[in-house]
Amino acid sequence: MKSIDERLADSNPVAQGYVPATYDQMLTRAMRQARTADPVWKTFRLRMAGSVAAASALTVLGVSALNGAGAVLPVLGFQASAGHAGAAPTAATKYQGVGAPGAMMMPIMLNYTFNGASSLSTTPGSAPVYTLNAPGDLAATLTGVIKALGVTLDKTPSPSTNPSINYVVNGTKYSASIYASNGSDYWSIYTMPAGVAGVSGTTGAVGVAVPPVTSSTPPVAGATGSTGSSGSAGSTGATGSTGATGVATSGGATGATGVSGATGPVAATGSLATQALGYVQALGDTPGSATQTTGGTTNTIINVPLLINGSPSDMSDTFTFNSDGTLQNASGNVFTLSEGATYPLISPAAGVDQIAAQEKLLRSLSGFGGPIAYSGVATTTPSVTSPGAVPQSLSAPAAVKMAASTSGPSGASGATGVTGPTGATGSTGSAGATGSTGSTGSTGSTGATGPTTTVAPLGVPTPTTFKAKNDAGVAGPSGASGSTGTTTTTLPAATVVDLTTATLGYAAYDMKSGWMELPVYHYTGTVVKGGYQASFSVVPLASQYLDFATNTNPIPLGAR
Amino acid sequence: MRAQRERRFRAVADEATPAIGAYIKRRIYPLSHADVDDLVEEVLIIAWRRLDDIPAGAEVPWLIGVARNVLRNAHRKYRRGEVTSSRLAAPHHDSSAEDNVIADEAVRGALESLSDDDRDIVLLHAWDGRSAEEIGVILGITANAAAVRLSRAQDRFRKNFAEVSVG
Repeated sequence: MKSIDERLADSNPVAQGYVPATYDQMLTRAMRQARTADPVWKTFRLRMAGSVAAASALTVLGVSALNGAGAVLPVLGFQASAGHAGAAPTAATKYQGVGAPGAMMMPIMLNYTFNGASSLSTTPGSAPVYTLNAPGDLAATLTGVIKALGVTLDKTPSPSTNPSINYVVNGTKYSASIYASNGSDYWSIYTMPAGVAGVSGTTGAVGVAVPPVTSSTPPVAGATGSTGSSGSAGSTGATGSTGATGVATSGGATGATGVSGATGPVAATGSLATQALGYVQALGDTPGSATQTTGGTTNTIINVPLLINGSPSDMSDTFTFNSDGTLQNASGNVFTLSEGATYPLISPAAGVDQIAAQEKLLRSLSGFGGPIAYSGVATTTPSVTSPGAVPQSLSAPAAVKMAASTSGPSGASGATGVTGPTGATGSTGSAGATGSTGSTGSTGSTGATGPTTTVAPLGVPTPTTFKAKNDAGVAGPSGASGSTGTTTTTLPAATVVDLTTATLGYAAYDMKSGWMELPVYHYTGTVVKGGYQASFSVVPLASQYLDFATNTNPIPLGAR
Repeated sequence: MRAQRERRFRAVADEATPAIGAYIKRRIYPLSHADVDDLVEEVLIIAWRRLDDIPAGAEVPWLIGVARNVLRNAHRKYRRGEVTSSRLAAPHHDSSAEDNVIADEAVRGALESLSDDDRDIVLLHAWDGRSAEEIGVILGITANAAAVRLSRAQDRFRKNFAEVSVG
């Protein structure tokens, strides 16, 4: 972050001295007193009036004047680049908007018709842009992250031999790493499992009899030794295994109970959400509304978007908790922001017209901005938004249980766990279909070559020719010859999307001046006849402030 | 005698013109070079007339002080002409040169909140690289007085900057 004095100095519009081109003539005129002041004022006055009128459209050295507002805003030039690894997909973002972890992210080709723009706001706005700066000292940053997460630092970060990681720590209770990534640093930490039970103690030594004493008196039995101290209780035995599934009462064999799938992200609530928000604040960031994903049956994954100027950004922190609430692993972005100028934004309604124009450009430039379509349900509106309930101090994460226990005192073996409850009776299996498999039909004859079909994709001026291949005939019914295969070549029709929402956020783009977080409208809608939802992003700055000239590698239509 | 005077004038002009040109250009940016040249020439005319008054060793700040007055006169004459020619026109915001130059919103806001004198002093130091002693020459005050005024103006700028940044 630059100091005030540095920013003031940076505002200097003329860094170098200036000598008029006609300097020698000026000196001659001055010494001859060839000019009087009045003509100077006259020409100055005339030029000044004209220049002020033209100033609104002036672009000098990449600085464009904003008409009528008296402000000068830099033109933001995009740099052709690969994706922003700093916002690498986390577990939660991989699952975002997906009904199940295995659901497929489907890129959609660029052939859209959008409905619903008229229902969106027509009010223009404004928003600042930010320069994204990664912290300079990666080792110190990683140390700070570890401490913020409440983990005792028992080793210091050291340079990694892995070229994709800058610093790594392999502590006794955790491992952690960090790497610089396009304007931000990406950190991750994995904590070790809870400590093992202490070693059982030995029983106290039995007392030794005192040897007889030579005496005229009868020998006296030695005193009994004191009993050794009792060992402390051993660890609790493991819970008994679940009882076997009951046998079906009738019918066929009981079908196996399906494994519970992971749930989609929902609003994160409860102590784990509070804990996650506390971590984000301890890391110095502003948390957004957390979402929660259940991974299998034991882990809870909480994703917390990081806010920029009060709006969610494309950067986030993710925390995975064990079933007992201990932190298992975490990852996220660390960065600093330098606020730049505030730009006028077109309205969300007007931004719809920019989707098709920007989608291809932004995705090819920096990996963001294009449509992502997904099956499943929409992300549930998160509800955990009250940072006030979140502990502020770094000591807040102390509730994390991750310390390994030291060797404990002597202890007896724990009790064996009780047998688990008997499993519920399975549902009756459905009757299997009876019938033997029919004989296999002979292979059909090879189909005739299909006709060549030429179909011009919508919006592409030059028709694309597709050569149909020879299809093998499908297997015919038993004994009969297969029918001749048919050839059908189709291109996707325009995808109609009913837009439903538009929200303001921030996303990272690789600019000529470095990585920046730019305001973004995120549109979501329903694909008509598709049964799934799609989202689109647009940088809603007026076009005169955006320069895509370096976009030298656009992605062809339909190539993704 | 005249040749000696011309040699000194040329030496003073050679040393001071880049700083004078930059000073003027910074304050009427983004107007054309021709406008800057007109005002630089006016400063040089005054320099020739008052060559004997220019203090040795402080030629540059002394002529920046002249340029400051030339620029003020130009603005006054320009504004007077504007008022005369458009007396019935709707009032409009007469943005300062800094308004048109500075893209850093916080810096611009903090400068706008300063008085003209404070802004002059802050920018003479930050943009033109003038020391407190040189600012004293430019403003016609003692070095100590200039140092105090510079310090106070900087404090007010920083205070405004903090308020603008928060707000």
